Amino acid sequence: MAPVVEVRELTKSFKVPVRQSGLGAAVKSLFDRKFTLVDAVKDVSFNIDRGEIVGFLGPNGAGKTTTLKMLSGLLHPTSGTATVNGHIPWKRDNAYLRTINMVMGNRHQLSWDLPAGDTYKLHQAIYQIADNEFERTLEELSDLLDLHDLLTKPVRTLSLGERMKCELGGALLHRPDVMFLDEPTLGLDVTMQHRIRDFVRSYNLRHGSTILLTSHYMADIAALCERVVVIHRGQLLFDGPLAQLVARFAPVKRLTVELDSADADLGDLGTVVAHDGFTYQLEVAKEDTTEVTSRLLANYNLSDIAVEDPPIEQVIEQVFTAE
Amino acid sequence: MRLFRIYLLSALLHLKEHLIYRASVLIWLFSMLLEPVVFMMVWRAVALAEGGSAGGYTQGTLTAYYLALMVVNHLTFTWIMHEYAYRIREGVLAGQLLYPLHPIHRDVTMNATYKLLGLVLFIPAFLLLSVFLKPEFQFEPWQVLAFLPTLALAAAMRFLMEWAVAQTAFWYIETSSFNQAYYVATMFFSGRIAPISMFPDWLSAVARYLPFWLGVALPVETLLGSLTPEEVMSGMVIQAAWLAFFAGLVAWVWSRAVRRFGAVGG
Repeated sequence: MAPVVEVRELTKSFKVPVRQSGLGAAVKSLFDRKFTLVDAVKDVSFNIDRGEIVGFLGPNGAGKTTTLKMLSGLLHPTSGTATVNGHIPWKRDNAYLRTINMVMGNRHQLSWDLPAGDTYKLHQAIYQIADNEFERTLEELSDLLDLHDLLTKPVRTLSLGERMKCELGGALLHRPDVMFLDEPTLGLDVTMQHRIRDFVRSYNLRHGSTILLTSHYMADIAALCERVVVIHRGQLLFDGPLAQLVARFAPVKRLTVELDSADADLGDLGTVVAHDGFTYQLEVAKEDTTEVTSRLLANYNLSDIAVEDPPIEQVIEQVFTAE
Repeated sequence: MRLFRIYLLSALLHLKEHLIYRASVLIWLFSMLLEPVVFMMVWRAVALAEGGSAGGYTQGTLTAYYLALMVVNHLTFTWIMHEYAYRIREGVLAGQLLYPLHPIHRDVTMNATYKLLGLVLFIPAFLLLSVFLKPEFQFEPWQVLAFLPTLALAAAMRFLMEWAVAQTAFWYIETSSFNQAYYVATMFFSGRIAPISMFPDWLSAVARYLPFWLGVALPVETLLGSLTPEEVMSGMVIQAAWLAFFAGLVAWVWSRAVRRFGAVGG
C-alpha cells in the first residue's frame, strides 16, 4: 500500500533582512538592504502509512510547524516534493482540503464570540456534510470529548482546555483522513492533556486516520506515537520507533537502587543524579551497566534495583545539544 | 446550492457577531453617517452665502445629493483593507485557508450583513433628515430603474477593488499608509468632499473614468437625475469594465499572495 504522506527533499527557505543595531545602520539599510536566506526546513524526506500516528520532534525553530504548514497547503516550499492522499498540498485543491485538517494549539478556527455549535453548522455547509452524518459525527465527538455542555457557550467564555476540545471537535466534523496536530496540548493542565491524548488515540483507532503530531510534551509523544521523526535546524536527524531513538541517542542507563544505608558513596560506580534517604539514582555508561549492577549486588545490601533508560526528555535534550 | 447555504449560514453568524458588539457597531455607523452630514452642512452654508447655489447645486439639491450619498456610500464601502494585516499577523488567515473555500466568500457575507444591519440606522436617519432639511428630489422612473444596477455594479466593483488593495498586506508589514493613500484618493474623487461637477472641467472629466466616482457618486447622480441616460449608460459600461479588471486583478494577486504567504502567527 502506498504511503499516505510522501515527502521528498522538502526545503523551505525564508529571506530574512539583516540589520545591525544603531541609527547609522538603519540609515545605511535604506540604501543597501541586506538579506540572508534561512533554511527553516532543508531536504527533509519521510513517508507515513495510513493509520500511523507519527510524532514530530524538535526544539523551537527546528522546522516542525513549517513542515506541517507545507503539508497542510498553507506554505509553498522552496524546493522538494510532497504528496498527501495523492495531492500536492500547496496546490490547495478543494478535493484535498476536504480530506485533511490542521489544529494549531495557539490558533483557532471557531468564532470567538459565538458558541462552537454555531460555527460547526457552518463547517457542515462548507464540507457538505449530510444532516444525518453530521448529527452522528457530532454525537460521537461530543461523547469522546465531553462537549455536550460546551457547544452552547460562547467560545471566549471557555477555558483553554475546553476551547481546544471544541477546536478538535470542529476540525474533525468532516472526518479528515489526515490530521496535522501542532501542539494540541499547549498550555493545558495535566488532566486536560490526558483527555486530549486519549481522544486522539481512540479517534485514530476508530477511524484509522493518519496523524502527524508535534508536541513539546514528551508524554504526548510517548503515549501516542510508536514512531518519531526528529528534526533539528531544519534537517532530519532520526526517523524510527521511539524506543530505537532512546537506544541510539542515550549513551547511559539509569539505575535506581535502594540500600540499607543513607550515606553510601556510590561515586566510583557512576554519576549519582539523585539521592533521597536510602534511594539512589545513578547514571552509568550503557556498556558498564552489567558490571556496575554486579558490583552493587556484591558490595551493598540492596533491597531493590531498577535499570531503566533515562527520561525521554533528557534523551531528546542530548540529541539537540549534541548537534 | 452549496455556496448559497454557506452564504446564508455565514451571514447568520456574522449578524450574531455584529449584534454582540451592537454598541461598537452603532458608534461606527454614526461616524459613517456624520461625514456626509458635515459636508452637506458646509456646502449648504456655501450655497447660502453665494446667493442660493454653489457649483450648480441649490441648498435643496445639495441636501438630496448628500442624503443619497450617505446611503450609497454605506452600501458600497468595505473595511477589509484595514484588518487584513491583522488577519495575516495573528494567524486568522491561516485558519481560513484550511477550509475548502476561498476566504473572499467570508468577506462578502460579513459586508452584506453589516450593510443590512446599518440600514436600520441609515433609513430612519435619511427620513428624519429629509423631514428637517427638505431635499429636492426629482425622481423620474428611469432614474430609479437605472440607479439599482449602477448601485449593484458600484458595490461589486468597490468590494473587489478594496479586496485587491487589501492584498498589499502580503507584501508589506505596515499597510496603514497604503490604506491612507487610498482613503485620500477615494475621498477626493468619489464625490464625498464635493460633487465632482464643482471640480475644473478637465478634472471632473478624468474623475468620471475612475473607480472612486463610479463606486459612489455615479449611482447618486443617476438617482438625482444629474446625468443624461447616455452618461449613465457609459458610466455602467465603465463600471463593468473596472469590475472585470478588478476581478482579474484579485485572482492574479491572490494566486501570488498565497505563494508568498508566510503563515506566521501559529
